Amino acid sequence: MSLSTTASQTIGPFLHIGLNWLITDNLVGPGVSGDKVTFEGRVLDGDGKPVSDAIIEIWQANAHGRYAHPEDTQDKPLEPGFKGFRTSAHR
Amino acid sequence: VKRSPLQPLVLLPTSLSEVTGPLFGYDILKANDFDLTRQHGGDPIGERIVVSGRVLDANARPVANTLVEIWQANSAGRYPHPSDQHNAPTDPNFTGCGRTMTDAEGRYRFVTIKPGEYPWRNHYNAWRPAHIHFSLFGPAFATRLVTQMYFPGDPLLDYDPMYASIPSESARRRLISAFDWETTIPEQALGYKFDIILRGRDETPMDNYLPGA
Repeated sequence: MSLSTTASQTIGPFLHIGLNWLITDNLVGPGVSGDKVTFEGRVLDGDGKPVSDAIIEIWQANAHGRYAHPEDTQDKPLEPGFKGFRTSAHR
Repeated sequence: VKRSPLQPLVLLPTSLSEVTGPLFGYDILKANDFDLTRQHGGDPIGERIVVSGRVLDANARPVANTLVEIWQANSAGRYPHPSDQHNAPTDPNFTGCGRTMTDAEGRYRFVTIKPGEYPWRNHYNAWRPAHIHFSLFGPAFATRLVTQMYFPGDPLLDYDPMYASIPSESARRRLISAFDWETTIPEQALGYKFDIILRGRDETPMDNYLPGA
């Protein structure tokens, strides 16, 4: 059986009502190993104008290269303080 | 500038980054997160509705324990957001934001009020049909979906550029919920059913990519 996927639609200008609750600018919980890094940048539209209400979602492995997800079966340590996902926003 | 591919798409092997994704547990939810009519001291103004359905993958397998988030206007068509300048009233008993997790069968359920249509000044006499915004993560980062659910029989759908932005008529229709007698609560709330099909984890993520549409 094969189903047709649900189409996406624009997130709209009021996304912050629903999605702000997961926002943080720090993924590193207590006891997490590895070098702490910060990175930053700008979100621009096709005309080069700043997008002032963007939410950025990032997903990554921990310092050992292990994702906090059951599909990752690598023999590398998991760290409870590091989920690897957060959204970040500047308004 | 031509932006559509001239040749058939090549399926690239997916990496661990794409077949894994953020996991959320029930621990992040509060008791009334699924019931948007019970998040404040009083009842919101508007027609109570139940919106429910299943989250499935393209092989019809349920997507269990996945986060489903919604946000919507109040019954007057107004968002509690500083950018919303529509002169309809806000409702102190309605924030318009809900979240829940799917169960083992991929089922989710929200109680809310029917959102109002609203003008959005995109062009002359521009009105959005009544809609609820949905955000889902699914089992992998590649299955992330942001979309909107519409209501059956809404006369504004034919005039809405956002709804019309989906080229396939069948794909557009799948964004329209169905009135559902089974989930309608007598003397309380009408039920609407909206099933969501997430793309497979091996597919290349593309905006409005509609396999089989």
